[in-house]
Amino acid sequence: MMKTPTSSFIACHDCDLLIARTRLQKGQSLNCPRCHAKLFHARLNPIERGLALAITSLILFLPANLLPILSLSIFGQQQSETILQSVLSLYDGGLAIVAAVVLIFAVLVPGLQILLLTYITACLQFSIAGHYLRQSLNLYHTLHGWGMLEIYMIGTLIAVIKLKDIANLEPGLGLYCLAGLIFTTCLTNSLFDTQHAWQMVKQRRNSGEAQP
Amino acid sequence: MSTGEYKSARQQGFLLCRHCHSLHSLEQQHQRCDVCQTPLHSRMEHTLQRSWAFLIASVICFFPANLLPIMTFKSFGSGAPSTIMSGIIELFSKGFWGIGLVVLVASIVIPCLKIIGMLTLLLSLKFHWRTSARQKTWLYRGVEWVGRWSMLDIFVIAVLVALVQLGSLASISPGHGATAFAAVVILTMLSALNFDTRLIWDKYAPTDTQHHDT
Repeated sequence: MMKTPTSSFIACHDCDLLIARTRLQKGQSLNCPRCHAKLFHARLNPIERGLALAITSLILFLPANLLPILSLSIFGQQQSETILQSVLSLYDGGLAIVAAVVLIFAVLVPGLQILLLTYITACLQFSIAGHYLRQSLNLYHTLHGWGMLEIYMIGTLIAVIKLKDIANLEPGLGLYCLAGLIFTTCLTNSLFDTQHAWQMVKQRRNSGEAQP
Repeated sequence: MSTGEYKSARQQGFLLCRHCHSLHSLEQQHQRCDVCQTPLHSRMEHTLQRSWAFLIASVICFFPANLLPIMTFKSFGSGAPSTIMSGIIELFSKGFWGIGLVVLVASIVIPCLKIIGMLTLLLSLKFHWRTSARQKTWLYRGVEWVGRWSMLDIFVIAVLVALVQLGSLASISPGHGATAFAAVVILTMLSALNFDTRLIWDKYAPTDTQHHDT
């Protein structure tokens, strides 16, 4: 394949500085010399690790959403809460918009991210054609930062402190699954990135062009 | 100026796809990236207008968010609505200093700093303030990183409203301040998201090429 000038340079996404492309050793990362943005991180087995984390998150996602996170007892009365129930209570309380916001940021976006990650990493790991790979990667990139499970978790903690004077509170199984899910999400963010996946997509396309 | 020796990709006839980080020639502007199929722009289109629009909208929502009650706690038929500030004061008066501080920072300090931060960035570009581009970039990164954490209070309300539903004994109902507050958080996030940081650095690039063109 002919070497075009665009393949010998990279540009910083934060300050548009043009930099000559360099080869990185595994584990090394490249920062922009001008604005210090992280341009590339040569992670170890990002696809394989991404797939493992996606499957773990997939297993934890349903119990984290369906099992009670907290249960409260006061004067013999009991009430337990799941993420979906908190959405419903907000809706019943007349705040449809806030209910939608919580549903989107605490349930739909994290769920979609896990499904997309599973699809992307499985396609790349097992060399499956993946007709929606491009769209999935774009959507995954767009959703970055809009999943807010860890903030929901801290919110739960603050609710516990606000209520602990007046009632007995018990953590439910859902809370442990949620904690696990937050852990895997954090690991995913530090071990996997879409840039590496895009490079694999590019390589695949180039090798496809070479042998039609 | 030490930053003068650097040249941007645009000045040298290149364009970066911000989605998949592949480099294209500047002539491919407005076409689609051949790797990820998203439209290519050397700089985000209408970035300043969009960023301003979301920021102004968030400032408008900031007032109802802090003045309207976010929830009402009722026990045995009596109880008063509480705003964000009164919830924090209650936590402090009960002696929960640490957690009160967390809520204070997440719901009052961060939204204020975000609005002030974005305002500083946008005004400095509008009036060509000669401030350090590196500092402005870090300011933007701070605003972007911290933005989502002000969603905290919304989730606290969500949990409380679901848990405390014990009929006449004790119940918490949400208030419309919460809608305004959620709007502030989302609008400031969108304002930051639509801001193209490359504009900060364009001011510092050597201008000789532009002079030759015009």
